[in-house]
Amino acid sequence: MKIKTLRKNPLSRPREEDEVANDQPSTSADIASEVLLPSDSNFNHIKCKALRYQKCQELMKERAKAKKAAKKARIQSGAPKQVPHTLESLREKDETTIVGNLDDEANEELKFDLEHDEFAAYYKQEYEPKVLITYADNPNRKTRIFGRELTRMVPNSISLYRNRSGVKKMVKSATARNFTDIIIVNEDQCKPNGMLVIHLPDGPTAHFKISNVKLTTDLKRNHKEITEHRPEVILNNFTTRLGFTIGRMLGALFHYQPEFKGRRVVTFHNQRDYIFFRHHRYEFNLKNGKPRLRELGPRFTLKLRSLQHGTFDSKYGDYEWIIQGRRHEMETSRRKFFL
Amino acid sequence: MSHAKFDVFVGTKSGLIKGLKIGRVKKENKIKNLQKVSLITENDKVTRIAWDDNNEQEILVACSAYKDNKVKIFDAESAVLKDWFSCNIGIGNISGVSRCGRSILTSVKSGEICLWTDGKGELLIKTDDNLNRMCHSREHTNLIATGGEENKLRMYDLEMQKQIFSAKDLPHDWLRLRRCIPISDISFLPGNQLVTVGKYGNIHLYDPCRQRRPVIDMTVKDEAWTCLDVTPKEKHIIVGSTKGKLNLIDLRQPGTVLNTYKGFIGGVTGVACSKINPYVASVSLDRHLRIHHIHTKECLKCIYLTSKLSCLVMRSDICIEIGYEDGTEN
Repeated sequence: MKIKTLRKNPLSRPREEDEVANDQPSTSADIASEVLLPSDSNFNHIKCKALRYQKCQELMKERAKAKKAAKKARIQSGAPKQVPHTLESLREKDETTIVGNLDDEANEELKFDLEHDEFAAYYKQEYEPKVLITYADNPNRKTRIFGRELTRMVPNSISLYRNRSGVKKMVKSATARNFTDIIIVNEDQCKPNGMLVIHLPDGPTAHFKISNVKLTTDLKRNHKEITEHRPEVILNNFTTRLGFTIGRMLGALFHYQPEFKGRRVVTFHNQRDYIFFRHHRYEFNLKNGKPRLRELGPRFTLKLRSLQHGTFDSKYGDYEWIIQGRRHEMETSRRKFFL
Repeated sequence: MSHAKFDVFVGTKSGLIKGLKIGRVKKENKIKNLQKVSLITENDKVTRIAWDDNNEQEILVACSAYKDNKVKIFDAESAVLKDWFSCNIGIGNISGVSRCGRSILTSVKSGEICLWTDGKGELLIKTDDNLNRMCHSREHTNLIATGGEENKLRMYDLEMQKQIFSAKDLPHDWLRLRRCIPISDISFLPGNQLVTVGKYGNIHLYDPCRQRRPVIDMTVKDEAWTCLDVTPKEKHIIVGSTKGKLNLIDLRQPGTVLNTYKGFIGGVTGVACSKINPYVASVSLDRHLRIHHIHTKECLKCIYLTSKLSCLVMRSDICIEIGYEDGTEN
């Protein structure tokens, strides 16, 4: 029996030095004289599964190494970091986007508009917000708790059962009782699914879809951790004219003077038209001055459905922005955002 | 000379009045505030805007807020404020303004229709409360039509100061309940016919010579019409709704909804059609002015104007050039 003619085990075959050099892409047509070898990055032609897998792993390792080296070289040379292309950075330009400072000459009209809109009185600190939080008829447990948690977020707010009252009636009676805003939480399938924010006494009304509600207990926190101090409010990334109005509207729910002692902060972060609500307590590390956050809950996501001029009148009210019935017309691209 | 004049004048909810000269491409559009921002107070909210007469030399702008109503007169050529006077007979916003000879005719929400000559007013006609719109006939200048919520359509003769037509209530519906007709906008059609639209989606055509009930009674579900204008084509009107729908309506029997013009994000507050060319301009609460071609339904222009817009007037001989060729637009 000749040992030489036996096939060697491919896994234990010693690697030849020039094999690596020949592994360059050689399927190109210009080197016609040489034998066409299979490309180095495709191992589909290898029939032995174990070998194919090993080859693939080796290649991936090599690539990771090269990437790491390139990054190291970039850091050493001090070249700027490349910005990745995301949906947000490639966002379609919106002509209503607010550029520059409000005091600029170009934004004169906008500033005038802001000084005379419905929230001007709040931003001049003429009144303290007083908020009524209520539900759909027969709220389930989760919605009730969610409403209670909202009262812990929003200072000077109370949550009441609706008692089968209509929204227009509530608007009237709440205005008479000096409320400045009404929040109505709607629910479906035992989960909160909609939120109506009405600014009193004369609008506007915003309707949001609400999703991903995580209550304090779902985040494994205790409501006793939440103090009574008035929170700070961060409104993040509202860039267009519509987004600006929505940001102002959400900001006007909270008291304009936070109690910094409580170190509480609520955030409305807008990303791709979804408004993420988070509630944190912060702490500054005294040594290096870096902040540390502890999320307290609840946590939810809002998406704007409509913004209506005046108080609630879904049938005959004047809509400033409405997506119902024209979603395909308005959402022309994945990179188009409205807020 | 003609290149300097403005094509479209727009009134805003904040009180600014803008003149627009529409160019071939977006960069060539000229937008100018007729009054400086610093001069505007919060009592200047524009409710109505109208041409002076058919020559389109002047524009009348009705501004009202709280208890203070004003009418401003601008020169359309040079866009300067010529005159203004305050008109405080009656309560509420001005719902209609027009020129009547040397005087100016106004109507307010509480139902008073007044004639103003050199800043002095006289009460001409007192109609019902909740007057949403007064419309002055271009054909017969002594005729006006009024209407509003729970305030049926009436036609008055200004010279005789007498009501010459009032609409009759519609027959009861199949549940034997009263059908009320709210009116949010009125317009005269050639031949002294009247067309009204309302917030229940109702579009009615009245022919005062024939009968007191509407000749055409059509309803579009789930739309609250806010404004209308007459197109150059006979018996065709364009209506706009609070949810941002703009439709071409054919008012010949039996009355049909024809074209829908797209691109709106907010409710339409004003429409104006060119009298010669097939263009329709509309302003909406989403702060855009849009110009559509009536027949092709194409959106020719869409201009962002920073404030919430409430009404507009357009020159009847407007001509729009579209700069597709150089590729700077769209």
